[in-house]
Amino acid sequence: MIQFIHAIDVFLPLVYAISLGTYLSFFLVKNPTLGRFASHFLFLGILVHIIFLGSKWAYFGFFPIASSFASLSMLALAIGIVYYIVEKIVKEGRTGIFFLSIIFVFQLISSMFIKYDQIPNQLLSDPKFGVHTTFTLLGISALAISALYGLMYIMLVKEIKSRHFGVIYDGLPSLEILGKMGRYSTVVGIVVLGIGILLGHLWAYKVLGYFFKFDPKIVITDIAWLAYVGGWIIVRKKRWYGLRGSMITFWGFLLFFTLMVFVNFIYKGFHKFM
Amino acid sequence: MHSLSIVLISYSHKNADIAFRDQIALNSDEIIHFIEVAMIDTKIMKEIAVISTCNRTEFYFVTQAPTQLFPWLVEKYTTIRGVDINRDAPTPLTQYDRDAVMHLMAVAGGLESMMLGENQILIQVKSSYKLNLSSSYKFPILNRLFQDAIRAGKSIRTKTALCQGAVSISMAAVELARKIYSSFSKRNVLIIGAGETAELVALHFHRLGVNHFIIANRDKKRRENLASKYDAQPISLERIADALQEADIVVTATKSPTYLITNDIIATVLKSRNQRSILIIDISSPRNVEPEIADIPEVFLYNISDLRQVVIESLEKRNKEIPAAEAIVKEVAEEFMDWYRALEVVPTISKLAGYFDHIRTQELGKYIHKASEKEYQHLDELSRSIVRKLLHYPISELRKQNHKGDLSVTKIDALWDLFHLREFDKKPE
Repeated sequence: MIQFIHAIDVFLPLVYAISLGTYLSFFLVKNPTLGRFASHFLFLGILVHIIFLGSKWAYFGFFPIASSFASLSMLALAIGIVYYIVEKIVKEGRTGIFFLSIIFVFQLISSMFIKYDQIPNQLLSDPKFGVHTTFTLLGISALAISALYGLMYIMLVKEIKSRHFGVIYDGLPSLEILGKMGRYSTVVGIVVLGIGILLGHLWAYKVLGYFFKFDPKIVITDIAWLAYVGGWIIVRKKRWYGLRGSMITFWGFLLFFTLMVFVNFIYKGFHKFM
Repeated sequence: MHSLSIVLISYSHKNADIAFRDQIALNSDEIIHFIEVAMIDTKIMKEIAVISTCNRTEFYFVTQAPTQLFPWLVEKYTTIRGVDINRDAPTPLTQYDRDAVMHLMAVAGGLESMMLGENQILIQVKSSYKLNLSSSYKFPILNRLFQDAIRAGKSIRTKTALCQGAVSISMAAVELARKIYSSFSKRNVLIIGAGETAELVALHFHRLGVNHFIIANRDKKRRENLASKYDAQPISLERIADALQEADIVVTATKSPTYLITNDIIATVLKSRNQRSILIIDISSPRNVEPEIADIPEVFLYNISDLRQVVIESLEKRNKEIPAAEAIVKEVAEEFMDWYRALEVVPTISKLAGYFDHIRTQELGKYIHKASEKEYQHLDELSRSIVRKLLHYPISELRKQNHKGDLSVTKIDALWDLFHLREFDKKPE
């Protein structure tokens, strides 16, 4: 089994690299056949990735997010799944290059530096924790993707308004499509992260005996989620689907991300499983 | 079969003025008629195909008598169309074999078009191909040539950017709109003006799928006239601010000396439409939209100079794609020529072998009564072996050169002349 895991550690970045190359060609040449191939390779990568993480879980007996490098691989998969769903819903693959770049780099770093000899926290062996983590990571990935769509929207608006039509203008789909993809990602993010947070609280109550603990990470995640829900209601009510909506999505996520990085830097204890 | 040539006779925007091109342009029925007439005289003509558009009328022939084609064409034009293309007419472009093949592929790819990289020509090449298929005659060489030309045309469009980008003001306007909106069926387009330009823009957006138009103009009759063509709502200029509440795209094309859309109007309108983006295309001269509006983040404003710049940049980009497109033409043309040369070499080899065998049996026949049956059998085997050995190198060299693409029609012709294969061809075997 361990040989199989090591083999996939090499094979997985390769599949993502092929998908990345095909998405890049599609972005530049816009040949629909290339777009289809790129999407198929991404699907293959996701399948292999699920088998890979499943095998690790089965072999080591704990959810595969014990180290930063293991989490990076999990994050790559989460971004892949959410992007793939959004691409299939909107039927638009020209933005794939941006997400595949992230997925490839994350998985490459993970495959290169991951070590399998560390002993994790016993909490990780509980499958319920795995479900909580999967939903949370998928939700955060979806919100990150929506932020990237927001950024693409802002960049495309800038190019259109400046009348200098470069690679971004040529390669990206219309503002309407970018807006739509961003909105879908936000909805997926809010719903899935909401489930992840709820499962986390329930699991904490069952295992640790409390529903909520004043931990900055939990507080920030809960507040960020509530802010997203509130923001989404306002955007829908005011119909700020254009530039304003994209600005809110991008800057909102950037704030959330910065706070999380800051809190992780200050508080090292909670949510560490080594 | 041997010594067939592919010949092109072409009149296009490069060698004929529009009056002459109009005179010789053929519709589908006339093309079918030309094909039928051509197939009566199969001694001259083996295959024919015609492309006729507003910018070109081109004849592609497969023939054994290339020199007789132009007189034939002159005669047929006179009888079928009553047009004398020999008198006061420009000299047509005439090309043979590989050049003719490459020309058709370049035409299909948009490389020969008046507007470099235009898309319509590929559809027209497809129509010509379908027209040939619909006739009751079989044109294997030209059908294959047209299939390959269509393939080259598609390949150029997918692998290069030769056909991308706007090349006219109205196309530039539409392209900008497409970068902002993905679907147009539910979009509202406000057109201010009811002149020719306004009508052309309305037509472009209508083709793009727009169904909801509002036409604003000072003259009631003119705005109602244009509105009736697109089932649009006609309004007076005083109601522009109201119309702006709903509009996604605004096009102004009037001769008004003052601004019809001002900063104040847009600021008020944007508030009531929750800052929803709006595309304003001002192709009026003087301008009808206050230029400062462009500074508002939710407004995409373009005037005629901006659109001209878009066109210039697109044309520059298209020009840069020419080498890549030409490489595709060359590649597909070579593939076709390989196939075409194979058609030429197979009958040549069989005719050459037949010719040698004919001499062998003729000479052997002289000994039929002079030699015993056993001796005759030995002579037969000996002569067969000599002929086989004599032909071994010429035939393998023909095959090799054909495979490498070095075998020209001229070389094959020389071979046929050297052994008088044409005369032998006519003899009953």
